[in-house]
Amino acid sequence: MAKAFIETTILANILLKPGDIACRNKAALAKYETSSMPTYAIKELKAGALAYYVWTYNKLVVTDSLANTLLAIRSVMSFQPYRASTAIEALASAMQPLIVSSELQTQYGKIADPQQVIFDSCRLMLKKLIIGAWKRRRLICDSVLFPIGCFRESGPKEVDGLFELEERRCKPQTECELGLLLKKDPKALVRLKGVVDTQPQKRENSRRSKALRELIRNPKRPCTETMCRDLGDVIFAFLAPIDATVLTTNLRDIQPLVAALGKKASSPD
Amino acid sequence: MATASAFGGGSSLSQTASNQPGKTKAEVVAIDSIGTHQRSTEALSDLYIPDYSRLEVGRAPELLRSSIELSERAVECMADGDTISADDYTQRLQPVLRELFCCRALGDGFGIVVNSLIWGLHNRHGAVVEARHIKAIHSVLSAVCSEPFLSSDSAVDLALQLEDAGLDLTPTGFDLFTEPLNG
Repeated sequence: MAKAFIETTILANILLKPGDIACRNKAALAKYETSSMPTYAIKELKAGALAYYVWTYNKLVVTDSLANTLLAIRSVMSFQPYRASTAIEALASAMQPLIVSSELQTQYGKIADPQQVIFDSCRLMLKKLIIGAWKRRRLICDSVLFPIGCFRESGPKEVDGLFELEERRCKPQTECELGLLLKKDPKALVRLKGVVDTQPQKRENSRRSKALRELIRNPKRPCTETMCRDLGDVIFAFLAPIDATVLTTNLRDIQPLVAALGKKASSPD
Repeated sequence: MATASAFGGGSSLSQTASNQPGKTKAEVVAIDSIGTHQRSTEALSDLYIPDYSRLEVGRAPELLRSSIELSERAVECMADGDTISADDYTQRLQPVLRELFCCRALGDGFGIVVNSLIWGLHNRHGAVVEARHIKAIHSVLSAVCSEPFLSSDSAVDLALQLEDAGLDLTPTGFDLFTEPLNG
């Protein structure tokens, strides 16, 4: 029986990405007879993609401006394909199905103004995605495994027109629960560290290697929330059932990790 | 396929709105508290009066009824195997939905549903509508008609019904917002 073990990129793509990407990912998942994911994927979703959407929504509401929101998005992006003004022109052109006749614009006033209509369509779609993603986070697979006692699964709340997304980080009383689980198999940790150390030099890999080294060399020291967060891909490789395939869009990083433990990974494309 | 409407007769909301514009149902209070309690209640309710005289409240029920009628006919045609007529009724729904989006001051819940319906139909890019699509659209419109001031949470449930029926609700150009998640 083919089993899928879902990684965060797939969860985010299904819940938060535009239709065609979500459909491709759902179709890939549907090829498996059963599917599961660790609670850790929900933790990563909340601290990552969902937090970004909440930030964008709040930026729209606070600035009351598409232009300023797009400028803010561009200021935090690593690449900038085009200027904010060009992006708004593209958006205005794409949003034509929403625009009513000039007679109705006169009749309804500002609410029917094309700029306002485009702004509200984007704002309402972001709102729908934020609420919908949280509602369905546990419904895209058959089971959610490895509960994390120190992670509070509280969702976004709307307060005074803005979303609040609290408790993005775990609060372990003594030690991260996943850390305790990982320490039970030091041999696997050594194999995983060996792979991480051969991966391209990026900040996330050096943090991951450091966290693994700490777990291997000092198993009696508590695993912190920061270490748990830095471990990222390693957690999925470690927790994946031996007879399951880790489904991810980040095959380049995940594949060597799972292979080191005799497991498999696959991507939707 | 009769549809109850919160705008039409029968609901407490419409009765309240037409009989006593701007007031909610009278509160039951002890006789000895009249004089102090009632005065403060009126003052409080004055602060939260929805403006029922606005254009969208006048037009929204009419537009919702039109849209339900069109979707109902589309469902019937589809059941009769008349796909072309079903699709045509669905096409006629689109300008009605555009105007309904001008009534989104009724609330974000209302706006979320109408926005989803507009993009769900637009993203078909002219492809003939399927029975599951039109059934979902009719069901969602009926739900909004019976509860136009629905919460965002309830609205998202309705939007998810449209997605489950196979409609893609993402606005064209929305990747401007999702791009940063790719890089």
